[in-house]
Amino acid sequence: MNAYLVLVALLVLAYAGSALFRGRSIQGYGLPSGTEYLVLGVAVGPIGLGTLTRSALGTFEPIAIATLSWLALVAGANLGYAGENRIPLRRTAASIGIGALCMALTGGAAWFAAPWLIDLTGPDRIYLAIGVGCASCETTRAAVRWVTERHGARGPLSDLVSDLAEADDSVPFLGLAVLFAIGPTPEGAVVTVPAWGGLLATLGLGAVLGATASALADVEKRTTERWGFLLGTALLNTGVAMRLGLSAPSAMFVMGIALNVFSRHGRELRSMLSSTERPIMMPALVLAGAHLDLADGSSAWAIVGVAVTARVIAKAAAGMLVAQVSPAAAKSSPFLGLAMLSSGALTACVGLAAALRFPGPVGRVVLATSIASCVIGELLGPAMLRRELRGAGEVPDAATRTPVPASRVPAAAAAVARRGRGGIVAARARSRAAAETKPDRGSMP
Amino acid sequence: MSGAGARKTIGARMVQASALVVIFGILFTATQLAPASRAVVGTVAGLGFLLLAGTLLSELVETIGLPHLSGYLIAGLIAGPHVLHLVDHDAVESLSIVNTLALALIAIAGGAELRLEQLRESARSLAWAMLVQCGLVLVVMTLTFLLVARFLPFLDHLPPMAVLGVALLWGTISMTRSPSAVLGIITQLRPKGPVTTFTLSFVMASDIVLVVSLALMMTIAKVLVDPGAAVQLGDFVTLGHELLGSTALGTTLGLVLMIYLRFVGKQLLVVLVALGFGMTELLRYVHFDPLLTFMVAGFVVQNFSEQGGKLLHAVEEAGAVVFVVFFATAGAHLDIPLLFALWPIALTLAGVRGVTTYMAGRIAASAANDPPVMKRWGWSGLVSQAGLTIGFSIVVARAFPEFGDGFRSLAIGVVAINEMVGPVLFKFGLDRAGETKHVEAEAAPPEVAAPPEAPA
Repeated sequence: MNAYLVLVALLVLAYAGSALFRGRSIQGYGLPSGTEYLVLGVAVGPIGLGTLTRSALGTFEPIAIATLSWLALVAGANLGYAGENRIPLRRTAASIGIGALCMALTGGAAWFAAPWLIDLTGPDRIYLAIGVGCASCETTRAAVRWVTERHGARGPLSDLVSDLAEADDSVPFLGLAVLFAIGPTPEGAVVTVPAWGGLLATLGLGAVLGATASALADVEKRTTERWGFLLGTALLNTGVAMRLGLSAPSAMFVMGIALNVFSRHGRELRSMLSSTERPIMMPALVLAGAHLDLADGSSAWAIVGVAVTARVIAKAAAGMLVAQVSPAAAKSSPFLGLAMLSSGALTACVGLAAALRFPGPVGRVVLATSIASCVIGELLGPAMLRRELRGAGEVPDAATRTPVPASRVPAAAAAVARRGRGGIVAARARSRAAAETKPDRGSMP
Repeated sequence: MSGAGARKTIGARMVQASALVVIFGILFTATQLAPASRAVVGTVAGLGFLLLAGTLLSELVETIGLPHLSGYLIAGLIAGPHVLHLVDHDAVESLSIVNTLALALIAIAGGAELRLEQLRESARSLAWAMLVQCGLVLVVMTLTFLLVARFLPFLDHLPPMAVLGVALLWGTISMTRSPSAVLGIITQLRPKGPVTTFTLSFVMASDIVLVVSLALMMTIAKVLVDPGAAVQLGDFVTLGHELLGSTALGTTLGLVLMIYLRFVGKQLLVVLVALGFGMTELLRYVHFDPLLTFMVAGFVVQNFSEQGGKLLHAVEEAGAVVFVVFFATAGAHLDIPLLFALWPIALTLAGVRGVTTYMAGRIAASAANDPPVMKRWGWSGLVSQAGLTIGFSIVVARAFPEFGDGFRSLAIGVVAINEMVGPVLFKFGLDRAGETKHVEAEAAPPEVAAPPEAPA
C-alpha cells in the first residue's frame, strides 16, 4: 500500500481521536482501553490482511517510535496527577507497589517458563523476563476513566481505582530503562557503556532535555512556539536515546516529569500535552498492532499464556491486599484486583519499544504479551470495575442516568464542553435535590 | 514560524543560547558515541534537532536584524552533512517528506494572501513587472550563460547551438522566484503595504508563467541540442490540460474547504496535514500541478467566503513547525563543497541575476507609474530562489542527460547564494519601505502612564 495513503489513514484516525475524545472527557465512545485500534492494526498488518506490509511498517517506524514515545511523555507529565488534582503520596506508593508486584510475578513466570517453552537461555532469558514484566504491570487510566465517566460513578472506590491507575506508569518505564541498559550494545556504537551507566544516561537525558524544554517554555509566551520547543525536544530525546541504545519511552517519561518539576507553567504544559493523548493514541495503537509477528509459533503463545495468567493472579492478589488495607475499598469484593486488569496504550508502547530494540523472539514475545494483556484486560477489566463500583453503590441507578451519551444531546453537549461529564452528573444531582425541595407544580392549586 | 512576538529580555536570549548549546552538545556527543546508526534513528533525532535549533537560531539572529528564515537555513547548514554532520545525508533525504506538506501549506497561504481587490489595483504593475522581469532576466541571463559557458566543463562536448539551448534553459530557470521564502518572511514579519502585496502577487502569479515558459524552452532546447528532434505540439496540449485541470481541482478543493470551515471548522491542523500529503499524492497521480492547485484553493477560500482569516490562521499554526523543518532541511541540503568548486561562476550568475532583477524592477515600476517606494524596493523580494528552481533543474537534468548533472549542480550552487542572500534583502527592503513598522509598534509593550502621586 502506498506510504502516503497509509499516512493519510493514520491522520484520519488521529482526526477521529481528537474529534470524538476532545479534552479529557471520554464520553463513552469506543472500547475503554482503545483495544479495537490495536486489533485493527493486527487485522491490517502483515499477519492479517497484509494491507500494511513489513516494508510499509519500516517506512512508518519513525512515526511509530515518535508517537509511542510521545505517549510516554504525556504519562510522565501527568505522573502524580489525576486530572488537575494531586494524587496522595500513599496512593502513589501503593500503585507503584502493585505495579512492581505484577512485574515481578509475571516476569518471574516468564523466566521459569522460558527454557521449557521457547528455549531461551542466558541473557535472552533475562531480557524476556524483564520485558514481559514491563508489558504486564500497567493499569490503563483511560479504561478506568471511561467506566467512571460512562456510568457517572462517584465515590471513594472510584477515586481509589482512578488514582491507582494514574500513578503506576513509572514501573514499566523504569523496567524498560533497565532492560535497554543491560541489552546488547546498539549497532554502530563505539563505546560499551555498563548497565548502570546506561540507566543513568536514560534518566539524565530525559532530565536535561526536560529542564531545557521547561526553560524554553517559560521564556516563550506564544503557544505555537511552545509547541515547537516541546515537539523538538521530544523528538531529539527519542532519537538520541535510540541512537545510544537507551529506552526512548523511559527517557521521554523522565522528560515529562522534569517538565512538571522545573517549569513555572507546568499546569499549562500538562494541559497542552494531555490534549494530544487521544489523537496520538489511535494511530500509535494501530501501528503497534500491525507489528505483531507470529514467527515463533505456538511456543511463544504458550509463554504469552503463562504471562497473562500470572498477570491475572498478580492483579487479583494486589486487589485483595488493597481491599484489606484501604478504607476506600471497604465495600469492594475480593475480585477488586480484576477491576484493574485493563491495559492500553502504554503497554502497547512498551511492547513495541521492546520489539524494535530486540528484533528476535524476545521482542516478538514481549509485543505479543502486551497485545494479549490489552485484549484480556479489555474483556475482563471494565466489566469487573463496573461490578465493583455498582457493588459499592457508586454507580447511580439506570433511571437517573441518561441512556445516550450527553454529548449527543445538543443542550447537554454545550454543558459537557463547559464542565465535563463529571460536572454534568453533579449538575443533575443538584437539580434533582432542588426539585425535591421545591413544591410540586402539579400539586399547586 | 510565527509572527513577531513581544521583545525578549536578555535573560530570555541567554536561555535560548544556552539551550542551543545544550542540544548541540547532546547530539554531538551522541554522534561521537554511536557514529553509525539506523537511518530511522537519525531521522527522528535530525527532525527534532532541526526543529529546535532552527527555532532557537531564528530567535537569536533576530537580534542582529536577520529574518527567521536565515536562522533556519544556518541551523540546517551547520548541522547538515556537509559541515558538522550532526544530521546525516540519509536523514536529510528522509526529511524531504516534510517538503510535500510545506509546499502545500505555502501554496494555500500564498493563494489566501491574494485579495481580488488588491490584485485589481495592482494589475497594471503586475503586468509590467511580469513582462519586464521575465523578459529582461531571460535575455540577460541567457547571454551571461553563453559568456561563461567556456568555463563550464559539462558543456565541453556540446556544439554551439546546443550550448545556446542550454543557455535558454538557464535563462528560464533564472526567472524562478521563491514563493516559500517570500511567504516565510511575510509570515514572520506580517508586513503591510504595496511592496508586500506586489511581491506576493508577482511570485504566485509567476509560477504559471514559469511552467509554460519551461515547457516552451525545453521544446526549443530539444531541437537545438538534438537537431534530429521535432517540436511536439502534444506537449503543449498536456500542459494545457495540466493548468486547466489544476485550476478546476483547486477551485473544487477551495469550495470543499469553504464548506468545512463554515460548518465544521475544527481540527484544521489534522485536516491540513492530511490534505497536504493526500492531495499532493493524488495530484501527482493525475499529473496536475500541486502548487497551482493549492494556490487556487487558498484564493477561492479567501475571496469567495468569509473563512480566509480562519484558513490563514490554521496554516500559520501548522507552518510554525513545518516551515522550520522545511527551511532547515533546505539549509542542510546546501552542498557547500560544490559551491566552493563552482563559486566564481555561481557568484557571477547570481550577481548578474540580482542586478538584472533590480534594473527590471525599476524599469517596470517606472513604466507602470508605481509609487517611489515600489521603484526603490519592489524588486527586493524577487531575488530569492529555492526549491522551485532546484525542482525545475531536476526536470531539465532528467530531460537532458547529456549535460543534466552539471546543469543541476550549477543551479544548486546559484540557489545556495540566492537562498542565503534573498530573504535578508527582502526583509531589508520591507524594513526600508516602512511596511514592518506597525508590527514593531504592536510588539512593543504598551506604555503605561505613571499613576498620579497622591497629594501629601
